[in-house]
Amino acid sequence: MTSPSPRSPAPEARVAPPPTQAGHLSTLTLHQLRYGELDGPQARAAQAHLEGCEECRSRHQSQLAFRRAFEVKAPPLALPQARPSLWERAQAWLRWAPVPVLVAALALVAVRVAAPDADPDATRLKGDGEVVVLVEDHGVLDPGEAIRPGDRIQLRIPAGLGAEAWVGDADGLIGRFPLDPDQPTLSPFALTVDGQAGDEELVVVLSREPLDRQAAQAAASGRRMSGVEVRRIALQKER
Amino acid sequence: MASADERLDVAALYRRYGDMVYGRCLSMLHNEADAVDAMQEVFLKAHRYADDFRGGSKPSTWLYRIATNQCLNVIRSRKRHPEDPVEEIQDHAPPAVGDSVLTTLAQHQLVARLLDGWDERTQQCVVYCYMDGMTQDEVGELLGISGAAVRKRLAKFRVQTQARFPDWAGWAATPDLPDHPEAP
Repeated sequence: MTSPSPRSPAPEARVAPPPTQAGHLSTLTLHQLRYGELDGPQARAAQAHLEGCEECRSRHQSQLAFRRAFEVKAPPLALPQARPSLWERAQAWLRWAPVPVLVAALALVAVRVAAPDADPDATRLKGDGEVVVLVEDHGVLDPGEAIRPGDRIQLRIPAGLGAEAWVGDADGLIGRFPLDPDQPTLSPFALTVDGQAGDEELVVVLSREPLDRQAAQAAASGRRMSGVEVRRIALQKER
Repeated sequence: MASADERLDVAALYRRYGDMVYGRCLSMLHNEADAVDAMQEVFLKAHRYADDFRGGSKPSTWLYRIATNQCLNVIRSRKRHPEDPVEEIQDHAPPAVGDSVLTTLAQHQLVARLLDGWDERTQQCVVYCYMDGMTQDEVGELLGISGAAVRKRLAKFRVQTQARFPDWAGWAATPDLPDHPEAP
């Protein structure tokens, strides 16, 4: 995948290169130098400044160190991929989004999606498809199938179940992502099964409008909200 | 709405610029949970408003602006929630020479107090200039306004801030502050 390129020259291309009036490179300029986004003269000027400015070199090194730490421990994030197939997307995210969130315990796990009519008073969104559980290197997890510690699972949300989904477990919500209105959406982060004993439950909060974490957590905790549906996926552990 | 083929690959943006956006949110909000939430908002907005980017700037510049605005929104939101304590600005000594004013303030969660009451554009100018070390002309380019307009806003900001917080008169009266933005 490639980053998009602007159709017209960037406004900043007209900006005189660093250093700033304060005698240092701006934070954004340092980022752009690191990303290789400065044009030739700008990059040369920035590089020359770096060589002669201990403080900016230190800030530059801090950015690089932060980048390395971020790659190791990226926070949970949910984003729709631009294209490929769902499984290609899953693979990409499993490789790039190291957001292992401990979810369930080791064991054979039977998965079932809570019956839609379990609570007649609960809000129901328009779609009626089931949330599907996918396991890396395995595919769709059918009811009664087993998962093991270390398995990385994702959820596939059918179209028509709202505009956004929060996913979490009994310990709280983990992350959210927008839903494609026309086709199923794969959660862009993986949940890693841990070895703790005890049954687990995944929670999916579906909403017509984006919810902040507090509102989504309230819905997950049982508060009834218009335009919000909560689905629970039981994970039964191996005996 | 862009077609599927033209749609911005936000996931690729995240892989490339996630550290910058997260670092930006962390440096402005000084709270990991808030920074993670803000970062998610930034990329969700990038997805929603991908078309706005197409004719525009470098991806890093575009995301940096979204992140800055998102953080300012969070800061304003905090201000509206009195359960979130904001320390008194006068309780803290003015920054030492060479310190970034807003970096020092951010460390004490005082940005909200300092920016309180200012319009969004002025808040942006203050953050970009004093926290990020951009020149006033750079800020103008970034925001699509003239450097003179930036200078005017910052001058007004300095004068009124000096009046509100006399103990900080030293830096507020300084036309061009030394810049030591907090990494990242």
